Amino acid sequence: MEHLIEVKNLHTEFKQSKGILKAVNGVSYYLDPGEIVAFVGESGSGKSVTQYSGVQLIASPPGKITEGEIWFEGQNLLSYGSNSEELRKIRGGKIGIVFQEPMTSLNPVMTIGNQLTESVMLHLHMTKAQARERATELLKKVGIPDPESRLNAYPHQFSGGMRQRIVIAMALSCNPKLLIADEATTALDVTTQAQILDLMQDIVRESNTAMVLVTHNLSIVARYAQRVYVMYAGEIVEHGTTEEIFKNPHHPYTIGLMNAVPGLNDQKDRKLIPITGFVTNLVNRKDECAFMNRCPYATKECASCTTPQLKAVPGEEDHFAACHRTVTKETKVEKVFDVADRTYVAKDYGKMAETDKILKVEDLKVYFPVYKGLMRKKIADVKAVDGITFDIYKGETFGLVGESGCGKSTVARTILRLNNSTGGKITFNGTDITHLDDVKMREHRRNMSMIFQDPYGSLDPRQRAGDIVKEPMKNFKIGLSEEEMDKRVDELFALVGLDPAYRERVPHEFSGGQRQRLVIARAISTNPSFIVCDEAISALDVSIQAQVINLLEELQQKLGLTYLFIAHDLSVVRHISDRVAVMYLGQMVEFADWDSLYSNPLHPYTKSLLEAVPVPDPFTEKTRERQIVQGEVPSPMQRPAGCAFSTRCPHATDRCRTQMPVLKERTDGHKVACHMI
Amino acid sequence: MGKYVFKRLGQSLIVVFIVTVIVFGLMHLLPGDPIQIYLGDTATEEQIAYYTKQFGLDQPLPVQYIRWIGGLFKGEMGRSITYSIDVKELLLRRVASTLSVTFPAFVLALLIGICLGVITSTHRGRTLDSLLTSIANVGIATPAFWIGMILVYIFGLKLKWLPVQGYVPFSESPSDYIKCLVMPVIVLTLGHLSSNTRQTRSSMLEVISQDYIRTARSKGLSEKTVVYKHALRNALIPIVTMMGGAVGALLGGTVVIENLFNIPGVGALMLTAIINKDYMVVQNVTFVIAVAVVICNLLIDILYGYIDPRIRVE
Amino acid sequence: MKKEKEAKVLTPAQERRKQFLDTFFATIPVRIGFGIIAVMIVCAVFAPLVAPYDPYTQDLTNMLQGMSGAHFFGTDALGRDLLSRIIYGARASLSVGLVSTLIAGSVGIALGLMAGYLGKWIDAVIMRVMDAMMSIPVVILALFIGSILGKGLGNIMLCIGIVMMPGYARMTRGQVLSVKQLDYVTAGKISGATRMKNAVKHILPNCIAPNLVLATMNLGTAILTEAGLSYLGMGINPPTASWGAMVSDGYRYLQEYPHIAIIPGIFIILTVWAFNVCGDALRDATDPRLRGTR
Repeated sequence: MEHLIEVKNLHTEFKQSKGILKAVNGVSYYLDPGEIVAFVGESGSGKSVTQYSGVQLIASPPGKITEGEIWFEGQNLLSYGSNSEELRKIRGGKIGIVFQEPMTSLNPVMTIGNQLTESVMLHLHMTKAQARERATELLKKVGIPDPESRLNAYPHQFSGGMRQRIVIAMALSCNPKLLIADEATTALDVTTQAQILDLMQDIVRESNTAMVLVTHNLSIVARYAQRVYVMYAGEIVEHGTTEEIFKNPHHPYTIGLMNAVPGLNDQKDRKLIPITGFVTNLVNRKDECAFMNRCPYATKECASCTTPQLKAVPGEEDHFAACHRTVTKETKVEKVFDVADRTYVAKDYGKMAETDKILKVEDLKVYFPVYKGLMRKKIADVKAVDGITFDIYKGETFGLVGESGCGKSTVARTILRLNNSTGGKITFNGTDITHLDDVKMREHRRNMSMIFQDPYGSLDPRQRAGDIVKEPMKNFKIGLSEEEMDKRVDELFALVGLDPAYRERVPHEFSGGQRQRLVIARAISTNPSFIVCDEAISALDVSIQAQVINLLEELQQKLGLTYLFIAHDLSVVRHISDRVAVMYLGQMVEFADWDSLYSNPLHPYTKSLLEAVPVPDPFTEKTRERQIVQGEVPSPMQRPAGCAFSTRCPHATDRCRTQMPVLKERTDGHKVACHMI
Repeated sequence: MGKYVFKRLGQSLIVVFIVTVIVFGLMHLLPGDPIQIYLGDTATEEQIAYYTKQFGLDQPLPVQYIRWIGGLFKGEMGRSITYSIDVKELLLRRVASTLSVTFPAFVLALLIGICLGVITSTHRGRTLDSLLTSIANVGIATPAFWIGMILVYIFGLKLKWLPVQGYVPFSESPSDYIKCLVMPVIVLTLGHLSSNTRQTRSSMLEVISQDYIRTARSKGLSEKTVVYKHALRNALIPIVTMMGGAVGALLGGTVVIENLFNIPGVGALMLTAIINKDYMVVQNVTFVIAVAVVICNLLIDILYGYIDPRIRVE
Repeated sequence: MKKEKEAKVLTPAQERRKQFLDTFFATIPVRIGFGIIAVMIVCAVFAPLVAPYDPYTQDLTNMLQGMSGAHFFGTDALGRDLLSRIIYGARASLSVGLVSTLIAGSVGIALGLMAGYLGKWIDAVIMRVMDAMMSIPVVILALFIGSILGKGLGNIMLCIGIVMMPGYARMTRGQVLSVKQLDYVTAGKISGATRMKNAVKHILPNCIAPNLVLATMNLGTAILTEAGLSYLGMGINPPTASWGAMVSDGYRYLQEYPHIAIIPGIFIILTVWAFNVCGDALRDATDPRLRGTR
């Protein structure tokens, strides 16, 4: 059978000041009609550039497709220019693309109606009226309520999830044969992500459209894809059906990825094994295995060979790996990067005393006033946090999960007194810090610290690494001489796994993972007892995530740290936390130890969150029945009168819609705020 | 939208108020007695005292300020000391020639500048781009009086195609009116044309690298549609915000242009008034120009709301 | 391969500097512009040594001469050597550019920092005053202030400095508002920095780069403004040499001796162009988004 699209030996290069960056290096793949195929890899693996090269959407210059053939419906697309009539007919007409950033991928000054109709009129030769009808139909199909009037709205009037639906409608508007989804759900919340992915899956199945799923998320691959191409450093390193790849991965990188990612169905004491080192610099790439420097299975022979080519895995049909050796999960590693085993000891909260509490938060409220009119009259409050109570014990990791806008970061910032609270009480180490002024608060700051989400934004770009780590020691005057501080900086660098020789560098000379280590070194430099990790790992690549998670756990054991761990990734929170609280619209809806919460979620919102997250295992996913919650988190300005979740809850009754439920203890330590339980 | 306009209107009024304070304050810090200059060295004490009282300059400063503002509300601007006529009258006589130079220059600089900016940005890195960008860079660095002089030398003195200087009102002779204005308009246009070109180019380049342009391309639209329908309207947003400043710079530029080409306009009036310490003229002309700039800025902000729908809703 | 290893290993600081210089000097116009500025500075500083004649000595027997070996650019209506006057004129232009930019930059940045960091009514007051100053056209405001302060080099510097100030205040304020929200400023607070220390250590240094670019561009603008004021007779007192005044003086003899007016103008263009080109290059070199792409 002829393939829908077949790409042969594609090469794409980018000209840079220091040489030529081979972003795509001899990639060949194919898709059959109606197939969902995933391209997996971390940032810089070339998975997106490969797809953009296919439709010639790369910026040129500096980018250039130097070699290859792309066969689509009997034509070689590379024989046409990037702006040629022939290619434009296919791009948009036969191949639709959904991009990663829904917030920026729509034109802000055009109505979505105009943006939708222009391609319909171009490719399907419709009149304006017909095109508007088609656009309404498309919006309805992707689940935009009230589509007719929404055609005249501008992109900024939609939420991120809604915008992504519009982009999908646009990509599907001309009945394409192939849909490319480039990290299409990465920027979205878990429930929205599940809604969008299910929507795309349904649509392509219905219309027999093939879909390329470009993602870094193995769980998504496991749930949705039929075949997988694993990419590393601009090359395909492994290829096979999803089942084969997950059951029996043959490339060391694939194996490494799987070992690095936590899943919802893991054993609690499972140790994540990170992939150490960095992606080889692809500028002026040498002809050798690009993964060699990070490969735990590499031998001397690997170093003397040229770039490995894809070859069939013995005994398996349609499964290829590009490795000089034949490795499996069971193969003994040549190099061991990290040996310590991870053990998990459940804490006995019954024995904990009042004095073991490092932080007490009682009925915390944070309202942001909304002003209106010329006189700036206060008309309402946005209740970002609305009455939250919890305690954190010394030495534990307290997980806080929820979708964006639920107030979890506001909680963190208020505890650290970066925001003022509207009501309630925060007690830290036995002192009421709720209303301390800046000067008095500084005495306590020494003992509390924070790790931020963005490892690029949280380091002053003009400060040197050594000074960054030294800054808290200087500010808090912890009584060390300059030499002692320098010595401590070296120790801290070593502790977080950075070479002390790097202390003279400035932040942009570090990679993302190294930067996050630097942030951690700064956070622990004055020996604080309590650290807030606000989405501390979500901006990092999966293999780096594992490194940072392991580092955080190691430091907790060595230094007896207490973490408030805020994240939207439920698998990671499950992996690292002792107790977990779930937030929705400024309120805590459920709270329990990790085991009860994940194995026996009580609140409908918690249940729907857990259902929305796929697990990195195609066999589980195949049989898993799930019900994705509908709708989106309402704006805190229009909070429902009763239970905040009542607008989306499948079990909501009149009582739920009018009366706010209180957080009540159901079983031992498991609290939930729901009328129906 | 209405609220937005209202808010900007309020801000503009505050700015106008501060302008009056600055103008008045600066004016009275000026050294030199205007009456003395007006009457010359031979004036007697009595004459000076008489005229000082006549123009109200003997009153305390706050009284003078309140009188001035009060007059402005009634549409009175006082009398010019040197010309002995109403400042309002004087301004009205002069404004036509100034607008004849500035308005065409503004429109030309804007239209041609945007066109050249689009051309250079779509030809980025190619010869045409380097050539036009280099010319624009030199254009920005060239003083208006110098380029004007070169034009006078070539077209006025050597080729004798155009009058070297002067101004003929449209009502007297339309053809002479146009002939007199060609060179001043070109000179005033060139500088602003260069900066508009540069601004449009960098703004277009910024926009072209945005995600939504990639989306537009992914729909298979032609390059023309992508550039003119999707990119240009977004790229115009920062250019529109610069237009207010351009109006001010053009009005300021007329001081030099009118001096160079001997055009009896507001700029020339301003220069002689400053030299002669003609309080009422300087004070009121500066005020009127500042108000014109503030009004332009306000109009531009409203226009901005139409170009950028994100502003409209807030 | 071997060669790479032999290459001198640079410390990170040296490498940063090298990378910065590489991006800065990436294009030929920048190198030319930088050269022009260097030559101008040398001429201005060592004017008495470089200039062939005294710029003020009038020689009525040698009036209005054309270009010759003795007088490279000829002489003006008072028989003064044009080349010497241009060299001395560089002194006026460059010092006006430098000092007025320093005045405008330091005061403007301080005001912008205050407005952006302290906010509330301080912000409103400072910014409305800046708006008011910006709504009066530069030339008119400069004439205005110039005629209060009187002519002369120092007053021109102060006058142009005041006129250019609002630009810095606005830019710094905007920069402060965006930097203020960044995580590393929050991190500074968490690390125990006081409000003052945070402003000086983390916010101010990160607002400097765009101001430096603006300052380089403004050097050119200041020189242009000075030339314009001197052309109008409201600038530096004669007989001090100023390029703008030289063009104005030469205008009278345009018909027969155009070079007297044209040559000083070319020097204005060259200098202003050089500063603008360097400003552009500085912006590219300090913009982290462009780093390493050229």
